[in-house]
Amino acid sequence: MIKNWWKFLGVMLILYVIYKGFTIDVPRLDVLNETIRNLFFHVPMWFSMMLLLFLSVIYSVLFLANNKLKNDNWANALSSGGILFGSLGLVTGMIWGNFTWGTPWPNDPKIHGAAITILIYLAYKVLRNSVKDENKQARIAAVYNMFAFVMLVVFLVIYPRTQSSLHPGAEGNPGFNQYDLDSNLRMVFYPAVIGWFLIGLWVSQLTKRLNQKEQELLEIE
Amino acid sequence: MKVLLSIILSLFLFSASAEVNKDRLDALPAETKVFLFKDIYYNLPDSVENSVFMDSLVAKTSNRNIKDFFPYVIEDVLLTMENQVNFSLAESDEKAFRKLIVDNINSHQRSTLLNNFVKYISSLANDSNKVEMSSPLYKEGKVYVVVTVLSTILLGIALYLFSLQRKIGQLKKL
Repeated sequence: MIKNWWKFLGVMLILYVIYKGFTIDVPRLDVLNETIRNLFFHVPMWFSMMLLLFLSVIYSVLFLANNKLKNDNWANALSSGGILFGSLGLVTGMIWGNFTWGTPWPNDPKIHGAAITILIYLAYKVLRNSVKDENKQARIAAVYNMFAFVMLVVFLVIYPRTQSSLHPGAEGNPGFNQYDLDSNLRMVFYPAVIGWFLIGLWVSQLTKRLNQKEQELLEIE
Repeated sequence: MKVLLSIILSLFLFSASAEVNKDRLDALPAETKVFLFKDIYYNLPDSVENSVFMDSLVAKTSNRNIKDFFPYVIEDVLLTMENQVNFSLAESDEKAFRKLIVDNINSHQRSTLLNNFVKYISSLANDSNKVEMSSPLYKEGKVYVVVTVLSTILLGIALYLFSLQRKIGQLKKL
């Protein structure tokens, strides 16, 4: 119980976000209407994905530094969590876009960048599974992961800023400059990011344990 | 005067919400509308101008040309400027005024203008679309879109956890 305090914290934060997210006063904007509340649900998906994938690349670097397979297991599991949250970000974004921009997939640099990022991380999984030897697999995957994270930064952080975008934050101001007068939104948004990130961490931890057990069992056989 | 005007113009452009007064449009010289429209519309970044988004908006406004609506937004800017500094749009001042606009609107402000424009068009589309259709996700200020999004997230995480559970079950059999 006490050891897993952060899991409870994550769940409590999400409960807080769901309650506050649907009840607080939000700016009244045309077209967006109430869907501005998706700031608390859709946007944290991307933030959590980036945090999870950042942790993943840190574990990859750690693996390359000290050669412990445990670190590679973490990197693998965290990237799974990142892909999960990224896919959810894409799907929820399509739902949102359909009712505000009139199309689920407009020609928008952020959407294309996000899709490319997810494909790059799916390729990471394919690469992993294509190498049989455990150590070789971990080493190649770790190096690819570093490359993949650089690509994530390029496609999610740099590239959208060079283009005009339907999303807010294209002009060098990450986040949500058109709403940022409203500090109420921040009071829900930041807990949402932390909460979803902790949930993502939890999911990744379960994945990591499972992968590790699987490896042990296969070794015994 | 010029500096003051440009400050007010930027302030207006950065504050998103503004009501469009349709009646005042007729009072505006037609040439001015056309000129401002050309200046701002044709200088928009290509990616915005050609986006699917704009196409869908055009479709929404039931075959009316998107260009027809743009002057309304420009007019809105002009009116705000007039109200703020008692700037009168007399015929003699028009040339100077046009130059002022060209000098003071940068590309970012243009895209903000476009946003206001889009908002205006959408409100217009809602006005003209009196036929009530069964579209639950558009009701109640589209709050059910948020509900759908949240459900999708929970469903996605649940599916992931179920796949983990199945994997655990398979491992137990080993």
